[in-house]
Amino acid sequence: MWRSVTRARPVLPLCSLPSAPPVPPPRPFISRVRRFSQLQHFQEKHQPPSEPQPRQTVLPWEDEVREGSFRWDDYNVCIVGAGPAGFYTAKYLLKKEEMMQIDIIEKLPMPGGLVRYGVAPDHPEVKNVMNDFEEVMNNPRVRYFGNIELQKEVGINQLREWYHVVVLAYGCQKDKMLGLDGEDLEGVLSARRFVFWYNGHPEAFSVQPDLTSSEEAVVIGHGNVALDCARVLTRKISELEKTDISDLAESALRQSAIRWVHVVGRRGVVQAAWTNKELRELTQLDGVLPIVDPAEYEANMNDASKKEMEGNRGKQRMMPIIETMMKNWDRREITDKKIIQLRFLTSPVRITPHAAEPWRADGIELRRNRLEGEPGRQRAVPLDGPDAEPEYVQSNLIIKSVGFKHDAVPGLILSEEDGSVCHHEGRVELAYQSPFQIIGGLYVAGWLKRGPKGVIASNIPDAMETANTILKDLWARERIYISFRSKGREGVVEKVVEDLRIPRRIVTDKDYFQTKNEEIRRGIERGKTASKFLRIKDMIQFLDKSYRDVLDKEQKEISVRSLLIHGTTPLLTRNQRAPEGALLLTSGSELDEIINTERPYNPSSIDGKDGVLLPVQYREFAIRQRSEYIGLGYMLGMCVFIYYCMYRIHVSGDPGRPDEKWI
Amino acid sequence: MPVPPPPLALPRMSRRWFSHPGAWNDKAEKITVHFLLKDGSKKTVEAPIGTSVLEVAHHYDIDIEGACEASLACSTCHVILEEEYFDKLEEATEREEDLLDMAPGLAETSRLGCQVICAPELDGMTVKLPSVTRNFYVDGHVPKPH
Ligand SMILES: Cc1cc2nc3c(=O)[nH]c(=O)nc-3n(C[C@H](O)[C@H](O)[C@H](O)COP(=O)(O)OP(=O)(O)OC[C@H]3O[C@@H](n4cnc5c(N)ncnc54)[C@H](O)[C@@H]3O)c2cc1C
Ligand code: FES
Repeated sequence: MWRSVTRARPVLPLCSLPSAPPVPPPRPFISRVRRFSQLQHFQEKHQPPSEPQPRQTVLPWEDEVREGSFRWDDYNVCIVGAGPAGFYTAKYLLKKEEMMQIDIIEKLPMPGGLVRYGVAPDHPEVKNVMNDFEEVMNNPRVRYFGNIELQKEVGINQLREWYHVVVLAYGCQKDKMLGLDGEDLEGVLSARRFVFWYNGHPEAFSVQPDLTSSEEAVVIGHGNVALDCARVLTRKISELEKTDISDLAESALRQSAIRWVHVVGRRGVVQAAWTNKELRELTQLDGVLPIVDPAEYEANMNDASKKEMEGNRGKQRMMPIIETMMKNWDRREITDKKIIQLRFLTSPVRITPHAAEPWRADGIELRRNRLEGEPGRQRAVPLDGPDAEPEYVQSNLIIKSVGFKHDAVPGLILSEEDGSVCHHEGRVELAYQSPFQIIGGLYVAGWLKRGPKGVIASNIPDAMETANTILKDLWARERIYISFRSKGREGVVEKVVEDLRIPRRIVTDKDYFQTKNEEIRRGIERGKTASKFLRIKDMIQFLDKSYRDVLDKEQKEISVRSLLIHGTTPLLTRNQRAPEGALLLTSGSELDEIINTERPYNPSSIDGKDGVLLPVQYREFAIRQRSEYIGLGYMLGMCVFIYYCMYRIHVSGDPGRPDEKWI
Repeated sequence: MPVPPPPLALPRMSRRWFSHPGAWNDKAEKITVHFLLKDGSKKTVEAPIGTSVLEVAHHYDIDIEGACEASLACSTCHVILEEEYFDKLEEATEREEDLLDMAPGLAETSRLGCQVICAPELDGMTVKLPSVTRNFYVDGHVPKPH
């Protein structure tokens, strides 16, 4: 139960919080229910036409709280997106408040976000963080719903109705574009697609990068993701095949003809965004020679760049690594190793189509730049004069690693600077209205909150801040959107999914562990740490099949007869969906009824009740057995009848003589 | 039987930093370590010799993450030591230094908690948790207020 309201507000021990934002002026009262339904059904009409709005908002917002309008026994929190940001937020919320009840909703069946589908397969130690996340999933106060997408299966306003707090942590799902000619040709991939491809992301199942037609590949961008791509392209397959790399990518890389990867960036060494750990790793790879052209290096180390380096420990420590790579420059022609060339002050100009097959890329035109501007804000400016001669690199694989973009819920305002959602300490804001108008009960974390940058560790302070803000608001009961129609969170997600026209199978935490174990098992068979399921379909099929197998095994021991008597053995617990071709029964009489009426199997009848699951074959068996009983009874009846007839004949004489009896 | 068990129930990997099962028994030789927490308060604990600072923090429920489980890949276990004790430690490896480059709130005497192993000469040291400012970004990006 909620403790006394008059209790002193808990002190937030995580990190200090800046002062609260100004409270917006009171607005005329409109019934919340009315406003909500209006928004639901007449969104366009509801928009006041006079108000200047840069983007249409679909979110009703509240910052007032009606005492007593909601039960405060638990705090119900929904986190959208099971990436590091979502899990860290959940972790801190659980740690600080024991009444916290958290549901995590994830678009893909498997949780982990970019830890599973972003981090390179040859960095297994980075993925250890999944153990931490699994601990969160194992917490009895947390439920995990995979395979449910926000804005598709559930709407954001629905979630806001059911939960006190909704945290958006769904990261960045789109790519930035370069705006070049030929960017949409075949062979030009975004780093996100390429990374998803080698990590076995379900959305990248159909990606087929061409690794065999040319010896050179181009990666555009100077971040860790670009280095990841270059490393995976050149690393020895004998090392990659042992990791959890996607099976398709593994066999494609085995045939790869790529020998030279250009990592192209428009600015210099000092401005590059990669970290020393990733850069140093290139110099330690077996069979890979990382090189830097000394001339390019000299050109970018102007006074301003040197100034930028001052006082930056990381950049200073980067220089020896770059120097090693410059020493390798002379060996580029004689080596039999694969080459990664880091190129500076080079911008792509256009991607040219192949002469005979104009739908695919044939190469990329690069131009030289110079740096201009004060330290800290140097820009790349195209060279002119004789040096400006463009360079052409023939390549059928061009990977753009120039950053990610949000795919925000319509109505959220994105800040112009980095495209992240407008927020204040994690509270989502409508920034274009009077200052700090907050969308009640809506929070952000992770890449959605601070833009697509930083490592997994950078999500920690960020999630702490969001968790602190949420707790502060919950404890003060402020700024939480509460609908009169609040139903609480019990069973709502399942209900919504079952009501869909095309039913989705919710993947629970149990399913996750089962799938993961299966992936490990398949991996052991193939000498890898794991062999991931590449399609959602396969994953769901596996889950359904394994449940059926377990059930079949169980059922062999229970006869239909005993089920009819003790028909309530619960095999299916709450939140579990019945696998395809199964029946849900809650009592023996229901089994009777099903056998008698031959009611067709209807998955919508499974509504989270505890009950017995029967595979369909079993029903058929039961029906057959029932009819055998009936046949047996019929024969018995016939015997009795015949015996009776014979008895009558015996006592009353022969009925075969008609003249005596009937005439 | 409410839930069918996974077909291959692998035992959960035990956390790597709890690698000394015997380390926490009463007989183990211990040193005193003070933790300076993020809210400014101080917590004094007894740490067995041979355990890492990260392990000690986890044992006493002090807020240090250890995302990569002491495999030198994450820098979430970053701590700041006193100069006196920092000098007593062996120098950080190149890899540790690379990770420290990414750590928020880096100081001269920063180390990774999973690499600092408690030893008798470290008795009485103070370990400071880095103060996390909300404008920290790995790429040096400082967001503008809206
Ligand atoms: C290629 C790559 C490699 C990286 N390698 C490293 C590394 O080696 N080390 C490191 O420290 N950091 C690395 N990072 C950075 C790190 O992955 C990110 O900082 C971190 O994952 C961001 O977390 P997030 O939770 O905000 O986003 P994400 O991890 O992207 O999580 C978002 C989740 O939300 C889900 N989602 C999306 N849309 C919806 C929707 N509509 N409904 C429901 N769910 C949805 C997604 O499926 C995803 O699971 C890498 C990043 C990339 C891109
Ligand atoms: S726990 Fe990851 S580096 Fe120490």
